[in-house]
Amino acid sequence: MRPDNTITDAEIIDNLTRNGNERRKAEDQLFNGYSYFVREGVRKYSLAEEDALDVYSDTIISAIEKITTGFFEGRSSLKTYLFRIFHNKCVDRIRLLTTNKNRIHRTAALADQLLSSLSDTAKSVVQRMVDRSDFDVLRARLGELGENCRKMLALFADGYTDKEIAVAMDYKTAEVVKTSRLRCLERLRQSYNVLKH
Amino acid sequence: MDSLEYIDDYFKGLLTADQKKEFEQRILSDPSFAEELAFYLNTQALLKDDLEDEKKARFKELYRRNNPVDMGGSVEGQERPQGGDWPQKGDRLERREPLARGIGPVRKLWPYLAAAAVLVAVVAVWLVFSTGSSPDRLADQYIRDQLQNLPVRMSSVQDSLQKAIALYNEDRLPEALSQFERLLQRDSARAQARIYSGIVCLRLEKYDKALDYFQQLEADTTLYNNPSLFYQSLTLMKRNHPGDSQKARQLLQLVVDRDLDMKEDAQRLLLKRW
Repeated sequence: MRPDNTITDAEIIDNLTRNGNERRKAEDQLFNGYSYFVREGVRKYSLAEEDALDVYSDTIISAIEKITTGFFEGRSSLKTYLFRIFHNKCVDRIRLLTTNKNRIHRTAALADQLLSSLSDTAKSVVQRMVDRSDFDVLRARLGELGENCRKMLALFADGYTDKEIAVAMDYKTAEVVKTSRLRCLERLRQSYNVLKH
Repeated sequence: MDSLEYIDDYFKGLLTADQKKEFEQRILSDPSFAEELAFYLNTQALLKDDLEDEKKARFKELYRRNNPVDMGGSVEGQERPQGGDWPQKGDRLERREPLARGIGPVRKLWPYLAAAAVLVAVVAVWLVFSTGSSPDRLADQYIRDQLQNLPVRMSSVQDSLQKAIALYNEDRLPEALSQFERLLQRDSARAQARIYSGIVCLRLEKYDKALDYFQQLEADTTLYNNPSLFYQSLTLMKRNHPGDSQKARQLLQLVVDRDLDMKEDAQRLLLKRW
């Protein structure tokens, strides 16, 4: 079953690499197209429907990330690709249900993922600091930043370039966005450090 | 250059190889810089985390809208009708015509039942007279069933081997291979890294390289369990060059005769016709 009778894999992929509404629409199309996987998660992996839906959402988010960052090479159809991710995530979820990982671990794991390009020694130094961080305080400080700052930082974290943010948020140039974005980050760092220490 | 900008440029891939080395050096020598880097990463991770939550909430809403009877009953303000025209899974929100009552639908089924009967007969004939699967398809099947995921150790500490396994399980095979190979460079005696390097090569269809890893493993006499012959056989089945299939059978037979590691899997493969 394809996401829409009139839309091909190539079109979905193309739309996912665009920005704004087109990307959002493509994300929803991708999600709707294979949502019957949720039923498979319940039937084949004995997951509760809520868990299967969560795993399926994770699958779509992960696939979107891979597609937009160019890691999806198109060697298989989207359906096969998604099912492979879904299968792995179902297995992970079954394992996870027997352990007690919380949200902080999830965030720390994400940070760890971003560190993958560093050497093991450098990574362990930063990892120790990541582990010591207070995510609740940081989240609270983040919530207190102005709307523009939050939006700009969120778009950057979502993979938008400064140039694309400039278009989306109506800034003159990518350089202006970069300066403003780093200023927002600096403000956040200062307010986080004041509260932390 | 301001630290945050420097860090930002690093993650954007704007630094040269020398600058990257300097960057790593600074992490080791300057704790306040390492702390800023941790802050940068945490912020990115939190924002990504929030974005994921937002997307998940949107997807959940979409799912509820498209599957009103799932996830806890009817949609607010809508009762499930008694007739047969409520959308079912896979209907893609198109309203179906209610089924006609009485004998009509059964009659409509006859052509499908006849087609199904013919199909069953064809499959039965094929099973009786076919010459079996090709070795590469059998190997594919085995890889799909057994080698999609590598075992993960349940621990809060993730060492380099576990990270490489995680990359493999996320289907990031080239990255997993680099990580396993880095481990081997550091410690050539790590049999596990060698087995996994071979398995990744097999999945990446680098058969000669996979065979090379498994043959190196075969030479390792210190191992209590050594699955090298089995994996060599699997690689040959997958490569399927002239003579590979015969050689693969011989190796599997050897695994069984000598009661080596992976004996049961070897027996199962030998039972198939190929």
